[in-house]
Amino acid sequence: MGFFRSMDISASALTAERFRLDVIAENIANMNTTRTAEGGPYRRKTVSFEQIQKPFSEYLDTSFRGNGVRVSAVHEDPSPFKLVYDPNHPDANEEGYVEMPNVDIVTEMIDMISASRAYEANVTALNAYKNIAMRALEIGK
Amino acid sequence: MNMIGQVAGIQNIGQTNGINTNNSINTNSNFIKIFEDALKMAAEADQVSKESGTELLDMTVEDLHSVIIDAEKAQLTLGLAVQIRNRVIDAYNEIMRMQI
Repeated sequence: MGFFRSMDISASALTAERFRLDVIAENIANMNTTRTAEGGPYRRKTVSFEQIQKPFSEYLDTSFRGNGVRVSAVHEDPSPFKLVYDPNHPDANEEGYVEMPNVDIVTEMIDMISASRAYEANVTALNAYKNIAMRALEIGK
Repeated sequence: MNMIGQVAGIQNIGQTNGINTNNSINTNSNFIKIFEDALKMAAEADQVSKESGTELLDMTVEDLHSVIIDAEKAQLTLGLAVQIRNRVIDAYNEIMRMQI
């Protein structure tokens, strides 16, 4: 439905931001994980977004029509693991060093604030649209 | 955007109801059609909202906000249907009050 488009755009952003928050939560949860299915410690994950392309049926239509945003991929952070000296750790190597995940809690916290603020901003946009629609219904009252 | 096109149909009332009595039945069905369409849309939105509400209770829902947004859509569409009803009834009353 055309007049809900702006709502759908905001909704897609909400979904994307929520997904980003999921990934950040996963990073924080695995801050101390030294074993993963791929072997080695947990690698920090990041999310990238992309604009949703218009469907093929609308390609000849040159007027602007937003479709929102979606998650394009989840990347692994290639930065090196932190080495922590802990000879009693079961995953320590011969020298007594343990490879810890490359998750930095401060970075994650900043990302988290950014994600939740972005979520809030999209909720505000949605509410603004709703107010506009309500005002439209009041025309001529 | 469909709705707005249909609302524009109200403008026809003035033209068809004025002198040409042959069209009275046609106009009458137009009244009903406008209202029915609006109500149908509201019912559809309400149905979607209900389904996502059930999903929420089943804990199968993926996003909380989609449930709320569906509810908002249902509310707005119902508001639109009610407004259209008001306009249609106003127009009908206006015609009924016409002096003969």
